[in-house]
Amino acid sequence: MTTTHAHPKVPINSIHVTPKAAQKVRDFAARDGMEKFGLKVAVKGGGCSGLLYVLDIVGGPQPDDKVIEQEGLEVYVPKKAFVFLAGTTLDFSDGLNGKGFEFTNPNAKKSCGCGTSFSV
Amino acid sequence: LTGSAGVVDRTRGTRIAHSGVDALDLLHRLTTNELLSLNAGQARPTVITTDQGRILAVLEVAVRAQNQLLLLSESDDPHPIMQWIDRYTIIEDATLEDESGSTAQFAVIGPEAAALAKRVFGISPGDGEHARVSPGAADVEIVRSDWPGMPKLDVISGLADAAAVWQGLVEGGVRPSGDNAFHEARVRHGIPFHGSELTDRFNPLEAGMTPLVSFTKGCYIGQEVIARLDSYDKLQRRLMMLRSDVPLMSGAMLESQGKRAGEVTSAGTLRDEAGYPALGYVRRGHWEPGTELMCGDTAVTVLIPANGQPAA
Repeated sequence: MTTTHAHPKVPINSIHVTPKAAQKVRDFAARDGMEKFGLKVAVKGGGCSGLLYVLDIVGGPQPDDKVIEQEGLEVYVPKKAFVFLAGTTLDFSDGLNGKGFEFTNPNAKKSCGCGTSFSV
Repeated sequence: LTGSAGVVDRTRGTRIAHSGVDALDLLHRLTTNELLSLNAGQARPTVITTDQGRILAVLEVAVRAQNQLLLLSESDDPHPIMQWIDRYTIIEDATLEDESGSTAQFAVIGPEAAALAKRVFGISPGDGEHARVSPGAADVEIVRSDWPGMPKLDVISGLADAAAVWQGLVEGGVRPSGDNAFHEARVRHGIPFHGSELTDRFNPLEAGMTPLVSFTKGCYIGQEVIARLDSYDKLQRRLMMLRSDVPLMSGAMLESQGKRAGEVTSAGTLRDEAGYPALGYVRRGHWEPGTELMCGDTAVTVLIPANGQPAA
């Protein structure tokens, strides 16, 4: 995962999942035989810069999750984490030089070298 | 303290209960040491570092039971530590409770500390262990975190039991000691202390806390800076044990041929055969053991790295 800055502006009350990222999530879910699923996107403490992105394919939302529909995919964001993720785009880059899932987060003031961690 | 064993009242330090399924994992991600392998009954020191790799606080993390931690710090203000952990507690199941005001803490230090603790409490935890005992009606926790070459046990109880615990230790043969004796002993043994050597002006490698830093566990706040200092041998100063023929003053500047070579951070007032002990950060190029520096008109000898660290 890494943070890049090359996506169109996303409304600050949402997060955006690109078609490619959504398809990759569906591919992973199919590989694991999951029929009903959604993508959990969250933030937890840690990493070089203080905050780490969390991505997980889960069966459904938790009671405190904000549910966002993107590209036919349900995205679950814990309300406590949403403040750090509002306006973020999630993309996927593959190939030999691909970085996997990539975040473009307008709240991130700084990211660490490996891109998995950021500060606000 | 260093003859047999002494007990020092460290109640003004910080004691925090950190509880929840994610508490240990969160601390592992926020601090320098590897913590995930800790089990109930174990304890391990770690350092909270800023994103610049500087020291916010050194914590002793003791596992009371699964998902129940006790955090000890020498800091007499628990709030910066609690605020820092709370700031990074987002989706985690982890809560903090300040126990500093409701508990007492006595540090038992000295070559005989473990043997005397066994006499008083019936058990003697090994270095890096946490134990719970109930002498009489009191509920006592013991966390053992030795200084290099010197046993040290922290005995923690509720305030209501504190006087009885202290009395039990003294009656068991532990010598009652004060803050001055504690600081004389730690300076003589090269042990850094919160607020003197352990501040946000310095990083853990400079402070001789390298054993508290895991270079293989992955990211934590400040990790990139600390890893770079280590990989490229970029350390610019080291905490060293010093000796002089007259007592030094903490805060005094160390010089070599008129140029700044370091600073004194703690100074002892009791002379031993090598002189008056002190601790200080000494700049690269001057930290070789045996180097002679000046502190005003006083000659200062650089002995060895503090905290039991190798000279090389």
